[in-house]
Amino acid sequence: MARQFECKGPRTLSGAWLGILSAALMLTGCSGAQVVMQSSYPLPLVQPIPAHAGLLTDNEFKNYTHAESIDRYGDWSVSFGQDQQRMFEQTLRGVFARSSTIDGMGEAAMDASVVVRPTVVRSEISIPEQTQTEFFEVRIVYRIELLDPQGRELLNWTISAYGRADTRNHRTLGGAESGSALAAATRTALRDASALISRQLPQHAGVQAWLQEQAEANSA
Amino acid sequence: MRNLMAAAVLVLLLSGCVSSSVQVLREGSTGIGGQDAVVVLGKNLQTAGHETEFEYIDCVGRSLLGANTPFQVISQSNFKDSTFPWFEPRFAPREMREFSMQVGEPLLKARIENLGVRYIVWIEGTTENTGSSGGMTCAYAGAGGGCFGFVSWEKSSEYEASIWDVRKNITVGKISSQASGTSFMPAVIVPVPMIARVQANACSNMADQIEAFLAEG
Repeated sequence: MARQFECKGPRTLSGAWLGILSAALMLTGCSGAQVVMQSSYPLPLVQPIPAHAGLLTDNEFKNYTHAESIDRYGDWSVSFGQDQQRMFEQTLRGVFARSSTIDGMGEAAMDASVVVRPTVVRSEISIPEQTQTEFFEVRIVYRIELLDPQGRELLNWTISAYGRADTRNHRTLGGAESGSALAAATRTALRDASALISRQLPQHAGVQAWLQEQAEANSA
Repeated sequence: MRNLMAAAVLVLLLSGCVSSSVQVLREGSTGIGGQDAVVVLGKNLQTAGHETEFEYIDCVGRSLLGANTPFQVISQSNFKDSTFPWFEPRFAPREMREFSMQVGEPLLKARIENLGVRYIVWIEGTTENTGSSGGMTCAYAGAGGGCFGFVSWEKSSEYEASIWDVRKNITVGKISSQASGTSFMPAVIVPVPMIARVQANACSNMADQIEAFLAEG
């Protein structure tokens, strides 16, 4: 079934003036952006692992900032330390039956049945001018260690999270689309990390082996 | 003077025009009640190509919601957060077969039922600038300024909606919406933009067709 609609007539919009002004502002050039992330993250909808996880992170993790100077395109930075802390807290809340944050190993870890210690291995950003696309892209590589409360390593898992944002979805009058798109790409990468952990950690062979070990210890 | 006014009216009538068409392909019967909900999602799977514009997805959702529709509309962000991580780009089902397998997960199935979702509408496509012509010169002096010239630009929209019945686990149909139009901006001292609302037109056509499609059965 095809339906045709023809000429809906003329429209004059103030939006066009905004477009012209916006274009003029964009011509002033791309000189980087400084972004401080302040997002919230959803609770994963997965069957929780029957254990109490303690999240252990250091100040470097909580205050993490990716900063780089891109030749001819200015200085770029995105601070996502607090966001990744919130993301991990929320992820563990969904993935484990119980979770808490802990300050260190030793006595603090004894309440937990497993300690989750994430670290950022590296982070990368790319801007549209580098890739000749219209996308900002962010990649964050995490190492996620699972330890028992005595510090024995149960799992050492590396994940690569990716997010991108189309600049066409982030155009604003003030020419701040670069910061908005970089923030969106970072938020997508953090959600991707949470999604990866939520879907894959419970199935990971190392976790399954540890759960089996726990079950056997409890039944002995 | 009268001729000048007539010319101006003619320019207004001929400009900012949008041509559009919609094609509907029905693959299954539909029906929807007051307790049922529809979700409109952008098929942004982080593969090659542009993302479908957020504003278009929002526009279709708002248009459905605002037309006295006899069903609920759940926003993309609410649905994705409520079902996280199942509809994130890395894990989102690309076709009905994948969704059928995914919804075997009892928690996801229960959440979708609790939300009352009956149909998921996946939208892909974009609006592109397809050309421009003309030129304009602007000058400013102490006593004032102005512009002189004429520019025009063309836009073209192509969107496709794939409609899934998540209770029956089948694709019930597809709706394609195309629109194109040319905007003009003549300037004699003051530029007067006449905008062809190509994307808005593609949005309203798409929303009208989705509503009719779901109700028609």
